[in-house]
Amino acid sequence: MEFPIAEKGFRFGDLTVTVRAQWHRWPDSEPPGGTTEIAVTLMRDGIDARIVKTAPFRRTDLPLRCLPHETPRYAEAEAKHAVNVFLRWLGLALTDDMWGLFMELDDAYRFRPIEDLRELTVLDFLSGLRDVGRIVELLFVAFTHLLCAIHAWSLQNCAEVDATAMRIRLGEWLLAFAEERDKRFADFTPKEVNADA
Amino acid sequence: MRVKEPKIIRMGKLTLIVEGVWQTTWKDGAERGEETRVRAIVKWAGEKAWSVSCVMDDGVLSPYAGSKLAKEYGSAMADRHARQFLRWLGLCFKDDASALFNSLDSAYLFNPEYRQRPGAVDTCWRLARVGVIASTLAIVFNQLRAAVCESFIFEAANYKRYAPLGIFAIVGECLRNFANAGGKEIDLAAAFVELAEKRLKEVSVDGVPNR
Repeated sequence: MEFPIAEKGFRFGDLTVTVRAQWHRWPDSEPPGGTTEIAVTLMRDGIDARIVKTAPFRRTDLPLRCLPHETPRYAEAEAKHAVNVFLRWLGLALTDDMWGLFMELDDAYRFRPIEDLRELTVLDFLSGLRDVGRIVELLFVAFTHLLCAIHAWSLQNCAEVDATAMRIRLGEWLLAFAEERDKRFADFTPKEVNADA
Repeated sequence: MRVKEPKIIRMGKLTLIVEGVWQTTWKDGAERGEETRVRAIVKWAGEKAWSVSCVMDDGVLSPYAGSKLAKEYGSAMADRHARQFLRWLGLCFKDDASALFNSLDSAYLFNPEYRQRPGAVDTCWRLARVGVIASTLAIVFNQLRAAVCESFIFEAANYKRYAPLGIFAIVGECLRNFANAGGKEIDLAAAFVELAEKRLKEVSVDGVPNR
Protein backbone atom coordinates (compact mmCIF):
# COMPACT_ATOMS: atom_id res chain seq x y z
CA MET A 1 0.00 0.00 0.00
CA GLU A 2 1.26 3.47 -0.92
CA PHE A 3 0.99 6.03 1.84
CA PRO A 4 0.47 9.78 1.25
CA ILE A 5 3.41 11.91 0.13
CA ALA A 6 4.15 15.20 1.87
CA GLU A 7 5.73 17.90 -0.25
CA LYS A 8 7.00 21.42 0.16
CA GLY A 9 8.87 23.52 -2.34
CA PHE A 10 10.54 26.86 -2.61
CA ARG A 11 12.24 28.93 -5.19
CA PHE A 12 15.22 31.25 -5.15
CA GLY A 13 16.34 32.92 -8.36
CA ASP A 14 16.38 30.30 -11.10
CA LEU A 15 16.45 27.34 -8.72
CA THR A 16 13.39 25.47 -7.51
CA VAL A 17 13.85 23.03 -4.65
CA THR A 18 11.21 20.45 -3.81
CA VAL A 19 11.38 18.30 -0.69
CA ARG A 20 9.17 15.21 -0.64
CA ALA A 21 8.78 12.57 2.03
CA GLN A 22 6.86 9.34 2.25
CA TRP A 23 6.59 6.65 4.89
CA HIS A 24 6.93 3.07 3.59
CA ARG A 25 5.86 0.05 5.55
CA TRP A 26 8.29 -2.88 5.59
CA PRO A 27 6.62 -5.89 4.00
CA ASP A 28 6.10 -8.95 6.21
CA SER A 29 8.20 -7.52 9.01
CA GLU A 30 7.88 -8.65 12.58
CA PRO A 31 7.74 -6.46 14.64
CA PRO A 32 6.02 -4.19 12.09
CA GLY A 33 7.79 -1.00 11.14
CA GLY A 34 8.67 1.29 8.30
CA THR A 35 11.05 3.88 6.92
CA THR A 36 10.41 7.51 6.11
CA GLU A 37 12.25 8.45 2.93
CA ILE A 38 13.15 11.95 1.85
CA ALA A 39 13.73 13.04 -1.74
CA VAL A 40 15.10 16.41 -2.77
CA THR A 41 14.61 17.60 -6.33
CA LEU A 42 16.60 20.52 -7.72
CA MET A 43 15.42 22.18 -10.91
CA ARG A 44 17.01 25.08 -12.76
CA ASP A 45 15.02 27.25 -15.13
CA GLY A 46 15.76 26.44 -18.74
CA ILE A 47 17.40 23.09 -17.97
CA ASP A 48 15.31 19.97 -18.54
CA ALA A 49 17.51 17.72 -16.41
CA ARG A 50 16.87 17.72 -12.72
CA ILE A 51 18.82 16.41 -9.78
CA VAL A 52 16.98 14.02 -7.50
CA LYS A 53 18.63 12.75 -4.34
CA THR A 54 17.02 10.43 -1.83
CA ALA A 55 17.92 9.24 1.66
CA PRO A 56 16.19 7.46 4.50
CA PHE A 57 15.06 9.99 7.10
CA ARG A 58 14.32 7.58 9.92
CA ARG A 59 12.98 4.14 10.74
CA THR A 60 9.79 4.35 12.75
CA ASP A 61 6.62 2.44 13.54
CA LEU A 62 4.72 5.58 14.63
CA PRO A 63 2.06 5.34 11.86
CA LEU A 64 1.27 1.83 13.07
CA ARG A 65 0.61 2.80 16.67
CA CYS A 66 -3.03 3.55 15.96
CA LEU A 67 -6.17 1.90 14.61
CA PRO A 68 -5.52 0.37 11.15
CA HIS A 69 -7.80 2.80 9.29
CA GLU A 70 -5.90 5.74 10.79
CA THR A 71 -2.50 4.58 9.50
CA PRO A 72 -2.56 6.68 6.27
CA ARG A 73 -3.26 9.84 8.29
CA TYR A 74 -0.46 9.08 10.72
CA ALA A 75 1.86 8.21 7.82
CA GLU A 76 1.09 11.57 6.23
CA ALA A 77 1.80 13.34 9.52
CA GLU A 78 5.13 11.50 9.73
CA ALA A 79 5.99 12.52 6.14
CA LYS A 80 5.07 16.16 6.85
CA HIS A 81 7.25 16.09 9.94
CA ALA A 82 10.19 14.78 7.88
CA VAL A 83 9.80 17.53 5.27
CA ASN A 84 9.62 20.28 7.89
CA VAL A 85 12.58 18.94 9.83
CA PHE A 86 14.66 18.73 6.65
CA LEU A 87 13.77 22.32 5.71
CA ARG A 88 14.67 23.41 9.22
CA TRP A 89 18.08 21.71 8.96
CA LEU A 90 18.66 23.36 5.60
CA GLY A 91 17.76 26.69 7.22
CA LEU A 92 20.23 26.07 10.05
CA ALA A 93 22.98 25.23 7.54
CA LEU A 94 22.27 28.40 5.56
CA THR A 95 22.35 30.55 8.69
CA ASP A 96 25.73 28.98 9.54
CA ASP A 97 24.39 27.66 12.84
CA MET A 98 26.56 24.57 12.63
CA TRP A 99 26.44 23.82 16.33
CA GLY A 100 22.63 23.99 16.30
CA LEU A 101 22.49 21.72 13.25
CA PHE A 102 24.96 19.26 14.74
CA MET A 103 22.99 19.07 17.98
CA GLU A 104 19.69 18.52 16.15
CA LEU A 105 21.26 15.82 13.98
CA ASP A 106 22.67 14.23 17.12
CA ASP A 107 19.23 14.31 18.76
CA ALA A 108 17.75 12.60 15.72
CA TYR A 109 20.45 10.03 14.99
CA ARG A 110 22.23 9.67 18.36
CA PHE A 111 25.72 9.26 16.98
CA ARG A 112 27.72 11.17 19.58
CA PRO A 113 28.97 9.09 22.50
CA ILE A 114 28.66 11.10 25.71
CA GLU A 115 30.49 9.81 28.75
CA ASP A 116 28.19 8.55 31.55
CA LEU A 117 25.16 9.84 29.65
CA ARG A 118 25.02 8.04 26.32
CA GLU A 119 27.29 5.01 26.20
CA LEU A 120 26.91 3.77 22.64
CA THR A 121 28.04 0.43 21.33
CA VAL A 122 30.30 0.75 18.34
CA LEU A 123 27.59 -0.60 16.01
CA ASP A 124 25.02 1.93 17.30
CA PHE A 125 27.57 4.67 16.80
CA LEU A 126 28.49 3.54 13.29
CA SER A 127 24.89 3.10 12.16
CA GLY A 128 23.96 6.54 13.58
CA LEU A 129 26.90 8.12 11.78
CA ARG A 130 26.00 6.32 8.54
CA ASP A 131 22.40 7.59 8.74
CA VAL A 132 23.49 11.14 9.49
CA GLY A 133 25.96 10.98 6.59
CA ARG A 134 23.18 10.01 4.17
CA ILE A 135 20.86 12.83 5.18
CA VAL A 136 23.68 15.37 5.32
CA GLU A 137 24.64 14.50 1.75
CA LEU A 138 21.18 15.71 0.67
CA LEU A 139 21.61 18.85 2.76
CA PHE A 140 25.02 19.40 1.19
CA VAL A 141 23.72 19.08 -2.37
CA ALA A 142 20.73 21.39 -1.75
CA PHE A 143 22.92 23.85 0.14
CA THR A 144 25.61 24.13 -2.55
CA HIS A 145 23.00 24.60 -5.31
CA LEU A 146 21.33 27.32 -3.27
CA LEU A 147 24.69 29.06 -2.86
CA CYS A 148 25.12 28.96 -6.64
CA ALA A 149 21.58 30.28 -7.10
CA ILE A 150 22.30 33.21 -4.75
CA HIS A 151 25.44 34.15 -6.69
CA ALA A 152 23.69 33.70 -10.06
CA TRP A 153 20.82 35.91 -8.90
CA SER A 154 23.27 38.61 -7.72
CA LEU A 155 25.07 38.57 -11.06
CA GLN A 156 21.89 38.61 -13.14
CA ASN A 157 20.46 41.52 -11.19
CA CYS A 158 23.77 43.38 -10.98
CA ALA A 159 22.88 43.70 -7.33
CA GLU A 160 25.43 45.03 -4.89
CA VAL A 161 24.34 42.50 -2.31
CA ASP A 162 26.45 40.67 0.18
CA ALA A 163 26.02 37.00 -0.73
CA THR A 164 26.62 35.92 2.88
CA ALA A 165 23.90 38.24 4.17
CA MET A 166 21.53 36.97 1.48
CA ARG A 167 22.33 33.35 2.39
CA ILE A 168 21.65 33.99 6.07
CA ARG A 169 18.41 35.76 5.21
CA LEU A 170 17.34 32.83 3.04
CA GLY A 171 18.17 30.51 5.96
CA GLU A 172 15.93 32.54 8.26
CA TRP A 173 13.11 32.45 5.70
CA LEU A 174 13.49 28.70 5.45
CA LEU A 175 13.39 28.31 9.24
CA ALA A 176 10.11 30.25 9.27
CA PHE A 177 8.81 28.27 6.24
CA ALA A 178 9.51 25.02 8.09
CA GLU A 179 7.26 26.22 10.92
CA GLU A 180 4.36 27.02 8.58
CA ARG A 181 2.56 23.70 8.51
CA ASP A 182 0.02 24.46 5.78
CA LYS A 183 2.06 26.48 3.30
CA ARG A 184 3.32 24.25 0.48
CA PHE A 185 5.30 26.62 -1.72
CA ALA A 186 7.19 29.85 -1.25
CA ASP A 187 9.13 32.08 -3.61
CA PHE A 188 12.08 33.58 -1.74
CA THR A 189 13.51 35.47 -4.71
CA PRO A 190 13.87 39.09 -3.57
CA LYS A 191 11.43 41.24 -5.50
CA GLU A 192 13.36 44.45 -5.00
CA VAL A 193 17.06 44.92 -4.78
CA ASN A 194 18.07 47.32 -2.09
CA ALA A 195 21.35 48.21 -0.54
CA ASP A 196 20.49 46.54 2.76
CA ALA A 197 19.89 43.17 1.14
CA MET B 1 48.32 6.17 -12.25
CA ARG B 2 46.98 3.74 -9.69
CA VAL B 3 48.79 2.10 -6.77
CA LYS B 4 47.36 -0.57 -4.47
CA GLU B 5 48.54 -1.61 -1.03
CA PRO B 6 46.71 -4.73 0.12
CA LYS B 7 46.64 -6.03 3.71
CA ILE B 8 45.45 -9.59 4.03
CA ILE B 9 43.72 -10.83 7.18
CA ARG B 10 42.86 -14.49 7.56
CA MET B 11 40.45 -15.65 10.21
CA GLY B 12 38.97 -19.13 9.95
CA LYS B 13 36.90 -19.35 6.78
CA LEU B 14 37.24 -15.67 6.01
CA THR B 15 39.93 -13.94 4.00
CA LEU B 16 39.60 -10.19 4.29
CA ILE B 17 41.71 -7.97 2.06
CA VAL B 18 41.84 -4.34 3.13
CA GLU B 19 43.31 -2.54 0.18
CA GLY B 20 44.39 1.08 0.09
CA VAL B 21 44.06 2.37 -3.48
CA TRP B 22 45.67 5.63 -4.50
CA GLN B 23 44.92 6.97 -7.95
CA THR B 24 45.12 10.13 -9.94
CA THR B 25 41.90 11.57 -11.28
CA TRP B 26 41.57 13.02 -14.76
CA LYS B 27 39.68 16.03 -15.97
CA ASP B 28 39.74 17.63 -19.42
CA GLY B 29 42.41 15.21 -20.57
CA ALA B 30 44.88 15.94 -17.78
CA GLU B 31 45.75 14.52 -14.39
CA ARG B 32 44.36 17.13 -12.05
CA GLY B 33 43.59 15.43 -8.78
CA GLU B 34 44.23 12.42 -6.59
CA GLU B 35 42.00 10.14 -4.59
CA THR B 36 42.69 7.49 -1.98
CA ARG B 37 40.06 4.92 -1.22
CA VAL B 38 39.95 1.85 0.94
CA ARG B 39 38.43 -1.26 -0.56
CA ALA B 40 37.62 -4.25 1.62
CA ILE B 41 37.32 -7.53 -0.27
CA VAL B 42 35.39 -10.15 1.69
CA LYS B 43 35.99 -13.75 0.70
CA TRP B 44 34.39 -16.59 2.60
CA ALA B 45 35.70 -20.07 1.76
CA GLY B 46 33.69 -21.58 -1.10
CA GLU B 47 31.80 -18.36 -1.80
CA LYS B 48 32.17 -15.61 -4.32
CA ALA B 49 34.19 -12.62 -3.17
CA TRP B 50 32.52 -9.22 -2.85
CA SER B 51 33.76 -5.83 -1.84
CA VAL B 52 32.83 -2.51 -0.29
CA SER B 53 34.82 0.68 -0.62
CA CYS B 54 34.89 4.27 0.53
CA VAL B 55 36.84 7.37 -0.39
CA MET B 56 39.20 8.30 2.43
CA ASP B 57 40.84 11.34 0.89
CA ASP B 58 40.83 13.34 -2.30
CA GLY B 59 41.99 16.68 -3.54
CA VAL B 60 44.22 18.44 -5.99
CA LEU B 61 47.26 16.65 -7.31
CA SER B 62 50.18 16.85 -4.90
CA PRO B 63 53.55 17.95 -6.37
CA TYR B 64 54.93 14.52 -5.45
CA ALA B 65 52.24 12.82 -7.51
CA GLY B 66 53.39 14.62 -10.64
CA SER B 67 57.08 13.74 -10.19
CA LYS B 68 59.07 10.55 -10.58
CA LEU B 69 58.32 9.87 -6.93
CA ALA B 70 54.65 9.37 -7.85
CA LYS B 71 54.66 5.61 -7.28
CA GLU B 72 56.34 5.83 -3.87
CA TYR B 73 54.05 8.69 -2.86
CA GLY B 74 50.94 6.82 -4.00
CA SER B 75 52.07 3.67 -2.25
CA ALA B 76 52.69 5.59 1.01
CA MET B 77 49.25 7.22 0.83
CA ALA B 78 47.49 3.92 0.09
CA ASP B 79 49.39 2.18 2.89
CA ARG B 80 48.65 4.99 5.35
CA HIS B 81 44.90 4.88 4.74
CA ALA B 82 44.71 1.08 4.77
CA ARG B 83 46.48 1.09 8.15
CA GLN B 84 44.22 3.82 9.47
CA PHE B 85 41.20 1.76 8.45
CA LEU B 86 42.63 -1.27 10.29
CA ARG B 87 43.20 0.83 13.42
CA TRP B 88 39.54 1.92 13.31
CA LEU B 89 38.52 -1.68 12.82
CA GLY B 90 40.58 -2.49 15.92
CA LEU B 91 38.67 0.18 17.87
CA CYS B 92 35.40 -1.39 16.68
CA PHE B 93 36.47 -4.69 18.22
CA LYS B 94 37.35 -2.92 21.45
CA ASP B 95 33.80 -1.48 21.37
CA ASP B 96 35.31 1.91 22.15
CA ALA B 97 32.83 4.25 20.47
CA SER B 98 34.29 7.37 22.13
CA ALA B 99 37.83 6.65 20.92
CA LEU B 100 36.51 5.88 17.44
CA PHE B 101 34.46 9.09 17.39
CA ASN B 102 37.52 11.12 18.44
CA SER B 103 39.80 9.39 15.95
CA LEU B 104 37.36 9.91 13.06
CA ASP B 105 36.89 13.51 14.15
CA SER B 106 40.67 14.08 14.23
CA ALA B 107 40.87 12.77 10.69
CA TYR B 108 37.82 14.51 9.23
CA LEU B 109 37.02 17.40 11.63
CA PHE B 110 33.26 16.89 11.38
CA ASN B 111 32.42 17.92 14.96
CA PRO B 112 31.97 21.71 15.09
CA GLU B 113 32.50 21.76 18.86
CA TYR B 114 35.64 23.67 19.91
CA ARG B 115 36.17 24.88 16.33
CA GLN B 116 36.13 28.54 15.45
CA ARG B 117 33.40 29.44 12.98
CA PRO B 118 33.07 26.09 11.22
CA GLY B 119 31.65 26.61 7.73
CA ALA B 120 28.40 24.89 6.77
CA VAL B 121 29.63 23.57 3.41
CA ASP B 122 32.75 22.18 5.03
CA THR B 123 30.99 20.54 7.98
CA CYS B 124 28.21 19.03 5.84
CA TRP B 125 30.73 17.67 3.35
CA ARG B 126 32.87 16.17 6.11
CA LEU B 127 29.86 14.59 7.84
CA ALA B 128 28.69 13.09 4.54
CA ARG B 129 32.14 11.61 3.90
CA VAL B 130 32.56 10.19 7.39
CA GLY B 131 29.09 8.64 7.09
CA VAL B 132 30.24 6.53 4.12
CA ILE B 133 33.37 5.48 6.02
CA ALA B 134 31.22 4.51 9.04
CA SER B 135 28.99 2.41 6.80
CA THR B 136 32.01 0.58 5.30
CA LEU B 137 33.54 0.05 8.74
CA ALA B 138 30.28 -1.40 10.08
CA ILE B 139 30.03 -3.89 7.19
CA VAL B 140 33.65 -5.06 7.49
CA PHE B 141 33.42 -5.22 11.29
CA ASN B 142 30.33 -7.42 11.13
CA GLN B 143 31.96 -9.83 8.66
CA LEU B 144 35.16 -10.16 10.67
CA ARG B 145 33.23 -10.52 13.92
CA ALA B 146 31.17 -13.31 12.37
CA ALA B 147 34.42 -15.03 11.33
CA VAL B 148 35.79 -14.74 14.87
CA CYS B 149 32.57 -16.18 16.31
CA GLU B 150 32.72 -19.12 13.87
CA SER B 151 36.39 -19.86 14.56
CA PHE B 152 37.93 -22.27 17.07
CA ILE B 153 38.24 -19.38 19.55
CA PHE B 154 34.56 -19.80 20.37
CA GLU B 155 34.79 -23.57 20.91
CA ALA B 156 33.78 -24.33 24.49
CA ALA B 157 37.23 -25.07 25.95
CA ASN B 158 38.93 -22.14 24.26
CA TYR B 159 36.07 -19.79 25.06
CA LYS B 160 36.33 -20.69 28.74
CA ARG B 161 40.06 -20.02 28.64
CA TYR B 162 40.03 -16.72 26.73
CA ALA B 163 36.67 -15.12 27.57
CA PRO B 164 37.88 -13.51 30.83
CA LEU B 165 40.48 -11.57 28.83
CA GLY B 166 37.84 -10.11 26.51
CA ILE B 167 38.07 -11.97 23.22
CA PHE B 168 37.02 -9.11 20.95
CA ALA B 169 39.29 -6.64 22.76
CA ILE B 170 42.26 -8.94 22.09
CA VAL B 171 41.25 -9.23 18.42
CA GLY B 172 41.12 -5.42 18.30
CA GLU B 173 44.59 -5.21 19.79
CA CYS B 174 45.92 -7.71 17.24
CA LEU B 175 44.50 -5.58 14.43
CA ARG B 176 46.04 -2.44 15.91
CA ASN B 177 49.44 -4.11 16.30
CA PHE B 178 49.23 -5.37 12.72
CA ALA B 179 48.38 -1.89 11.47
CA ASN B 180 51.18 -0.28 13.47
CA ALA B 181 53.74 -2.86 12.35
CA GLY B 182 52.86 -2.22 8.71
CA GLY B 183 52.71 -5.90 7.83
CA LYS B 184 51.20 -7.25 4.63
CA GLU B 185 49.47 -10.37 5.89
CA ILE B 186 48.25 -11.70 9.21
CA ASP B 187 46.80 -14.94 10.44
CA LEU B 188 44.49 -13.31 12.95
CA ALA B 189 43.67 -16.55 14.74
CA ALA B 190 47.38 -17.30 15.36
CA ALA B 191 48.07 -13.71 16.38
CA PHE B 192 45.10 -13.90 18.76
CA VAL B 193 46.35 -17.10 20.43
CA GLU B 194 49.85 -15.67 20.79
CA LEU B 195 48.64 -12.43 22.39
CA ALA B 196 46.03 -14.14 24.55
CA GLU B 197 48.55 -16.68 25.88
CA LYS B 198 50.96 -13.83 26.62
CA ARG B 199 48.20 -12.06 28.54
CA LEU B 200 47.35 -15.21 30.47
CA LYS B 201 50.99 -15.55 31.53
CA GLU B 202 51.06 -11.91 32.63
CA VAL B 203 47.95 -12.54 34.71
CA SER B 204 49.54 -15.51 36.48
CA VAL B 205 52.79 -13.62 37.11
CA ASP B 206 50.74 -10.91 38.82
CA GLY B 207 49.42 -13.53 41.19
CA VAL B 208 45.87 -13.58 39.96
CA PRO B 209 44.81 -17.21 39.63
CA ASN B 210 44.76 -18.52 36.12
CA ARG B 211 41.45 -20.12 35.02
